[in-house]
Amino acid sequence: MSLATTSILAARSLSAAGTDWTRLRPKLSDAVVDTLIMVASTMVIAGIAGLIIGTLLYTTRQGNILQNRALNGVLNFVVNFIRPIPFIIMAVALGPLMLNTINTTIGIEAAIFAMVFTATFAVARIVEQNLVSIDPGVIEAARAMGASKTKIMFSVMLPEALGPLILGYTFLVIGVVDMSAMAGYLGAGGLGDFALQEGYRRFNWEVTAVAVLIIIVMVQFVQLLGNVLARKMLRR
Amino acid sequence: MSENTSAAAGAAGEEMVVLRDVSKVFKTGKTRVTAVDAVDLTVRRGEIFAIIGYSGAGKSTLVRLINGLEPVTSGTLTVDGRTISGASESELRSVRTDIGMIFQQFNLMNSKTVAGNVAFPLKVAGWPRERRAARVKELLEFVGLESKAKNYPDQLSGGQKQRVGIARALATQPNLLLADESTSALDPETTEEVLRLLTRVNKELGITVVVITHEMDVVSTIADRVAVMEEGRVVEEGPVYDVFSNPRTAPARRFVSTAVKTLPTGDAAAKLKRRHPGYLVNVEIKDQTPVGSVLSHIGQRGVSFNIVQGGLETLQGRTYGTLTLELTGEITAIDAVVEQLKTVTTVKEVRA
Repeated sequence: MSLATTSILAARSLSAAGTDWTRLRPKLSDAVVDTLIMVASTMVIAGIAGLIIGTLLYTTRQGNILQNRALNGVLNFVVNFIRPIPFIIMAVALGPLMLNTINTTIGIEAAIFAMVFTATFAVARIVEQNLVSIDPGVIEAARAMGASKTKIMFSVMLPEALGPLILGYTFLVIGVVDMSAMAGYLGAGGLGDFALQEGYRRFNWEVTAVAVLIIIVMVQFVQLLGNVLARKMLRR
Repeated sequence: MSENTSAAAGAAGEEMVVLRDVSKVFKTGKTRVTAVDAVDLTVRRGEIFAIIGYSGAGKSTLVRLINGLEPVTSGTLTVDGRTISGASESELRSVRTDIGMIFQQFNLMNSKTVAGNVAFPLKVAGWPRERRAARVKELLEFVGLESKAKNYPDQLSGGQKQRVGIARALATQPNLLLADESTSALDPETTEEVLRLLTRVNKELGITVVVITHEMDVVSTIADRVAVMEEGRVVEEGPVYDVFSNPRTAPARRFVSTAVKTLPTGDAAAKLKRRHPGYLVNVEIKDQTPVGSVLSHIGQRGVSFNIVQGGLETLQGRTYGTLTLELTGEITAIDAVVEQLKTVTTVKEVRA
């Protein structure tokens, strides 16, 4: 291919009008799938891990059922230590830990690892904050009925806070989508990477706009789902 | 409620809750607060026992010692022969299924239906599903809320919520029901409704009830015996009629005066004297006190009377109260009337 034809092709692809969607469409659908995989697996893993840590943060507080000043202090410190670190820096800093656990620092696994690590502590804080709003009298009533601590946690605390918890998780999905957009830096794909590679770097604003639009639709859908579920749980 | 006959097991009058030199000290940092101070108390099986005191008197802490929600600092506490003081958390869990508790703010689970709330203690106690459903139905009928089984607590009024609380507390057929300020969040009408229900719990099911309250009306309406608490101590204890008719301590007198009009003193007495220039005396009215027959004859002495203040209560089926009378006539004749009244009841002069 002569230099002339290459530059013509390049020029054409630069102009939005001539975007080559037959080439981009499979890339775009791969990017959508990658984003969904990253967000979904992060929400599932970090959702569970964060639920455990958040519940511990709440229950180990002074006067609560697992009251433990030392554990509460440690958990609080860890959460406060990790939460302010910007995701991209965290992703890079986690390199050695990744090498020791998942044997790679590149690709979708690496991205998910970093996202799970970061999101877990955000989930933990959200869970704790929602559990705090539970009326302590309800927990006392459960104790007075002879309920065990696990029974109180799973049959009283979590159901009582379920509505707000769903809204909290919904809120976090958006943060996780935000993180996933930076996955390209770890060699993972996704919509962020797509918009960066195919849109921004080629001055193709149409591609960027399409990526943004898809993300907006995804976020709107998740928010709607969260609202509907939460309303169903609150039923008031 | 046939299944509840077991709750009445054991003879009425036996010791149900026994506290011997029980203290509870809360330590926060360097400060020590003695919430319950060397309390001796016996609640007998089958009675309604009230503990009255102002907020901060330690009564809510005391009731939480009974089911082990708070551990005692010192002393011994037994419920139905089982030692609560020093028991482990797992021992306490089994004891607690035999002790029901209701609360001022009801403490129902908003995420569960009325039926779900009532079924919860049964799940905790490991009842099989079919027996649970039958028991929940039975309990909701007892409290008159069978039509609300599928509703959520938010859809109920305060009185209905407390009835659900009572149904829930009775679910596992306890021998003892602890009521912690159970009517303090309710209006007078619903208070009466809940008190009637508590009386039924006691009379029909034979369940011993311990009522914590700051309202003397609650005590006079349902209790058999009462303990008055102040600053962590039980300062006075006895049958409700005795405490009402003869309070021996200042806090007991204050509580009695909130329920029945007693001898007016200070400002109240001064106002009364200003409006009624005659000679003011306060007479005590008890069962069979022939104050009326004395008054019906004082006209012969040229003395007339006027009832200016007073109130009578029926406590445990007996009358108690005081009346303030204005006597007008010759001074010597009034003196003679007062002397005559003194032969039948306690008479006190109203002084400003």
